[in-house]
Amino acid sequence: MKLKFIFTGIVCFVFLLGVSQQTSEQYQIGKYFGRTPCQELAKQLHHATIPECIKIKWDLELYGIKGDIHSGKFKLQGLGYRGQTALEGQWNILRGTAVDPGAIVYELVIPGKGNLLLQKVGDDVLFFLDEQKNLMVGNYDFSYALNREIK
Amino acid sequence: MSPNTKASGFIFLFIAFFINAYAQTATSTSSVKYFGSSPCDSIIKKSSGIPSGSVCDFIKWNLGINGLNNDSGTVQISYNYGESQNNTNGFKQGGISRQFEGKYYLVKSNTSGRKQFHVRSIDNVVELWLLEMDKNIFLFTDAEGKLLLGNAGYSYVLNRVRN
Repeated sequence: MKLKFIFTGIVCFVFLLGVSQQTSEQYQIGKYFGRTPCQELAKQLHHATIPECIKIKWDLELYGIKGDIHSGKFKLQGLGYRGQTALEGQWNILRGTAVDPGAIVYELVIPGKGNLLLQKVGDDVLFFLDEQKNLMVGNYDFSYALNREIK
Repeated sequence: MSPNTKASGFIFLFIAFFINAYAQTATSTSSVKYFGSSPCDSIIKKSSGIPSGSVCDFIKWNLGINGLNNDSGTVQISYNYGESQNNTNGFKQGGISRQFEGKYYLVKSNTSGRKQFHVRSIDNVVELWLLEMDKNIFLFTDAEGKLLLGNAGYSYVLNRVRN
């Protein structure tokens, strides 16, 4: 009985150690926010919307995994997907846009929805691309940029 | 072919040549409009001639660039700023509007072929640096070419106005 208790304790310890190592291997690349026009991105996400939807408030967290520079995890909030319903998935690095073959592009793979493309236009700014990998054109009030949150 | 037909052909070609030349000139000098809403940080306040102590939650920009394909030319700069009116995209009491005539010139092209332009009003009140991402998008930069960082509400972007 005593041996069984010790064995269970060791198993729990090893499991918790594993979980803690997995967490420490994942790190936050950045948190980005911004407001964009609504209709085009809703369409890309196959999300039914109303014509009155004029803007989306975005909040994107990108996570990297140590030893992997080509992919990672993300959490995206916006367009009604918030809190428990936030969109989560994997990002992959793609190269090139319609006008810049060397550009770095994050592809957000959203299970059950369309993928989103974001060009890294600077250290702190990401920019939504359309399906043809062109920078999306905003309006007088909103653009398609996301800005890094600086604390 | 009769001499008359030949002469008509030459006249036709001559007229076509001048119409084409005129059309090209008209294109290179036509104005392309860009607009957008940006934050109103101290750096942009200073470079747009907005008094540092004034209430400015954001700026609405309107830029008309003449001869976009050239490395220099003239611009019309106008902006509107002030205190944000709740639940609208506008300003309390309509905000404050200013218009300027100015000039732009190419500062440099980077390795990806992006061009950085310097825009200055004739009266030297406004001085902006803009990075051309493509024919539809300009990003505001500082004098050294570093992108200006926006916030949760506004970004430093100018969008081409669709005709």
